[in-house]
Amino acid sequence: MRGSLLFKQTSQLLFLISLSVYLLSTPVAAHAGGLPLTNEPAIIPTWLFVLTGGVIIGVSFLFVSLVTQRQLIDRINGYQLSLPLLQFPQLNLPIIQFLSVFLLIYTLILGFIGPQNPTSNFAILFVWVVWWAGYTMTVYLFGNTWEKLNPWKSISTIIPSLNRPYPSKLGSWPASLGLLVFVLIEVGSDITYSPYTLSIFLIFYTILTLLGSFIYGSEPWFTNADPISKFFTCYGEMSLLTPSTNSLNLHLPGQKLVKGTDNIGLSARHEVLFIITILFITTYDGLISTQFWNEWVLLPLLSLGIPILMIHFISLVAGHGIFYAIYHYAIMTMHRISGTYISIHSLNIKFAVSLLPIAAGYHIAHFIGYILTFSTAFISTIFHPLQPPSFYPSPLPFWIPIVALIFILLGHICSVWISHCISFKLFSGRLQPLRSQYPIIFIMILYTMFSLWIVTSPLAT
Amino acid sequence: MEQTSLIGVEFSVPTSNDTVEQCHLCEFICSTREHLVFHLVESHPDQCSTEISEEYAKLSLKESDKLFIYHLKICSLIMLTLMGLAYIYAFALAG
Repeated sequence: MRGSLLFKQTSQLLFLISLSVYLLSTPVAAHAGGLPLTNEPAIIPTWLFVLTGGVIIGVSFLFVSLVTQRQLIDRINGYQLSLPLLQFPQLNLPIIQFLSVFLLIYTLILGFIGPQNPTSNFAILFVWVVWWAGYTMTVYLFGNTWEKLNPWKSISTIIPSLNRPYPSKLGSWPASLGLLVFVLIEVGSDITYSPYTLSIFLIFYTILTLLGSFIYGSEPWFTNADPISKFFTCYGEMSLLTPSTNSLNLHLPGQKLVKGTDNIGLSARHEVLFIITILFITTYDGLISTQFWNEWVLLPLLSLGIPILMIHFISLVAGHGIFYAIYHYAIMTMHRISGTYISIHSLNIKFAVSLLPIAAGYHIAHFIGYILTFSTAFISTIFHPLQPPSFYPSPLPFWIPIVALIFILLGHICSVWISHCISFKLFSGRLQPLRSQYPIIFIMILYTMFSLWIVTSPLAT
Repeated sequence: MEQTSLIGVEFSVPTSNDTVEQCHLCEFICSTREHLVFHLVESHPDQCSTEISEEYAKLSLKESDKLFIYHLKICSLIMLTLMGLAYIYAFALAG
């Protein structure tokens, strides 16, 4: 009886939170004129828009702080809607694996022999629009299917392996480093618009991956060292759907992150670094396309004669370091404020997963317009891979920037909730978990404002 | 000094004269007796003695008073923040 009353009160509370977020965000977002996706003039100044984003996160933390009953938190996290009529289709695994390998080879070939115009080439559109932007969204919304679809893993299972023990000291370092190198190549070369370069990169990646799995075995390599597999494993933990025996269960995003991090295998600092890397690369991708970056960082450094690849390398390493340092400092402060004896190292690991929804929200915001713009071009290249018709991008619907901003805020609010739940699992009582949250919420507010500033900044010409 | 509990959390226990209270069930280390009692009842509700449950009830009541004040502060802060934002909007849009 008491439980149902609490549940009713929480539902009302959550409704009020949603309403306040909606009321606060909608008018602001509607006039966010500086967005890269719209050309409408701004009605409110950027500083006010950015400030509003920070306030929404701060207020959402204050609302979440009102939920202090552990049973209630467990009940909210345990809530799931069973969808008995829906099930993941039982597809034949060898056929899927064959198709994924075929698609990899087809992409590779079309990168070489297809039209070299990026908007007419299947390889470019498939890799960047369909896979990197679109497929990633399906992973954090519906679950990690990459384990089954990964063409490199499919190939590696049929080639022999030396099965040398994977060095435990290496951990996820190769994956973190690989993801940073991947972004360095993406921003510092012509891989995003040159089909030829893309195919060269695919060949190089295929050799490296198959060599790794040949030495250490398929499973250890793809679980620890492969950046793409690790990237999708992390995002898969955020999914809204979980398959059960006869149905699909719909639940809150990040429910698995609250329950535990077994699938991600967070056990050491390098795992935390990987999550920071995921968060950082999405931000960096947006930052370098702003006019501010080009005018104040890129052009002055280029005028000094520093090569563009070196600029990106230094920025990536320094930016990544700054991100980690800020997170680590917040955790150290949390350790001090809460007066706990749980080590900083453990707190670092436990709270890192709360950053994933931010990265996912930012990913949607960054790519939703991109997908809608180029999806028609991609469809043309399916039917006419060698001579597709000319592509003329049509203007995006007016609501795209609003949706993008809502997802950024939703990602942050989701992070606030996950962090709140983790603190109630780790700390005892009710005041200690609440007080422990101040530093991490503070950096989330700052990061929200920074993200909103990036998406409202004019794009570099 | 680093120490790992049965639930897989590492602890950095101070070497000075700070108080250290350890859970006999999972080796979780708390800084005060109060936190240990909270931990015992919240993490091992079925294995707690009557004395611990009674102590928890007293401590929880005491904490509830503090929490009430805390929630009042939060509500005030929500109101202040939203009012402040409304004022800023009013000035920004009027100007």
